[in-house]
Amino acid sequence: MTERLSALLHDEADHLDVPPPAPGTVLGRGRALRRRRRVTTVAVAVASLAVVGVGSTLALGGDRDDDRAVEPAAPAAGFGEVFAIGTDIYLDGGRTHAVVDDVAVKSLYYTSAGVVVRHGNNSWSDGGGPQRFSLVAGDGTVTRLSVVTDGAVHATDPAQPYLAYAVRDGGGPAEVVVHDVTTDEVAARVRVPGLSGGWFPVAITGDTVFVGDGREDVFAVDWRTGEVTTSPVLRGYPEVAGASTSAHRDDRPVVLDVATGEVVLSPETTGWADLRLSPDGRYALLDQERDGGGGSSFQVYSVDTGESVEIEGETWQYGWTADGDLFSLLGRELTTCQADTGECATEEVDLVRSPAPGIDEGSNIVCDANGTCQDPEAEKGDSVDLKLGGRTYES
Amino acid sequence: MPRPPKDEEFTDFVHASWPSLYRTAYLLLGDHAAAEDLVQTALAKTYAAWSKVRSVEAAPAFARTTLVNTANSWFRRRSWGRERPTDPIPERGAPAPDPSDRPAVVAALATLPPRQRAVVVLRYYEDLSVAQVARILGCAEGTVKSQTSDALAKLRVELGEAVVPETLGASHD
Repeated sequence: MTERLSALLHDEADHLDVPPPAPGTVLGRGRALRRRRRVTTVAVAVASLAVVGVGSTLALGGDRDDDRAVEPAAPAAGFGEVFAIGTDIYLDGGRTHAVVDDVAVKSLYYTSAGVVVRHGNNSWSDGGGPQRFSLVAGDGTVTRLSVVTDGAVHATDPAQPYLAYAVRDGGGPAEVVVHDVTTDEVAARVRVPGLSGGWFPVAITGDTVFVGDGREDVFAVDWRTGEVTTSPVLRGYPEVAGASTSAHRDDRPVVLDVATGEVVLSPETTGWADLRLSPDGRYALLDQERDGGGGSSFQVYSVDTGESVEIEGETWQYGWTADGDLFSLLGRELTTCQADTGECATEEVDLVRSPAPGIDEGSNIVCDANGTCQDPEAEKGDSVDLKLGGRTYES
Repeated sequence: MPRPPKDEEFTDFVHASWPSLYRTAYLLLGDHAAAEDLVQTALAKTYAAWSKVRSVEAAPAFARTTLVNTANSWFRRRSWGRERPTDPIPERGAPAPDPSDRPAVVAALATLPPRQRAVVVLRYYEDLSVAQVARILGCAEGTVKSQTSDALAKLRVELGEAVVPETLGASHD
């Protein structure tokens, strides 16, 4: 009796246009999952019972498969912990290695096509001459992009293959540029007449590029249609991730829905504090000024539920993976903490190095808490910068 | 503990299993991007849990079960329905669709809540028994039967009596 229904279902399935698999991405995600499950978990952060507003208590230690499956709406993030030591780029916690052909790396950006590296003559965030870009794919393949900027601020959406920035060429109005990093072609260029000056912080999420000029108004640019409106929510420097933006209300840090301005997260804080969003906007790290003394730790909140976990360490030691986990590299230890449970796992990493002044190929490299890495056997002073993925190294 | 598969072995397995898993995922979720993410997630979990898989030969069945379990965990999330609105539902006043028209089947599935949809796909596409579906979805067999019954009633409206006869009950295995 079910033959007809069954036949229709099979017919539908047989006619589906099946996309090609991405074994590299699957392997990367698989390795990241396996690493999380290792018994070498060295620290389980204490869950904070603090719940923002009127919320529920936090349940920890649930079924990992259920708790941490990638959100359907989240980007397919197969790059794991991403960091740069000098011009060596590491994906998946160092398992994938690539080298960018330049003097120094300035910043790392997540896209759905891979990691976009901003590099140039020095590691300064800007003001250090031309900024060049390369795309590092999940398998470590490096593609130099044609984009070269100077003094611009850049942004990506980890769910999309675009690099966004704004420039003013000549005396005309400023333009938002959306560059497709897979084709290395400009996907859109939209004039924004309301911008003044020459420095334009941007953020991109979905079809919208938010751009300001450091003053009051921030413009929302639909880069597909070219429509430009004034954002009713954002002011000054747009810091947007996913559907969220971090801001301050009554001197307290909050996370707002970027479309409606609704406060979606408002943790209790003392003194100066700031919320730093994960690249996908699902989590927010509370960076809070502390009174002297005491151990170092910080809270990470789920923007969706308001629940929080406590992570040991200093906020500036941590970067984000594209899918919202925190990680740090200290010495030769890579620590990865899950933002939803606070579970942390540490492993020693052997990082392949490319030869550099003062650093021999294959030599040990250790990184300190200040973001500087050095070969312990090299002469003093021969050090290179550590840059973590998911961190903002912009002016 | 079995060693992790070599990258080449696992890549071959991904290529071999991907189309079939994707088809099931799409029928379960009704969304191409979500289906792709679900298959990737299931295969990544299979890789991570290789000590339970034990051999390449056993991997396809393990991956399929993992896929359904993962989809089920997504369904349990309170935000699933909000994040994944179903495709537009055909207007009630519109003529009954031709059941031989494939998009009609997709549209009909889209009218079902996620769990009912999963029950239909598992039973009538994957050809699993009531007991197997109950085990996978973590619910009682009676729940599977009642969900099947409700789902078939809705599909009967959408696809017609010819495809889902009135006598088609939910009690058979």
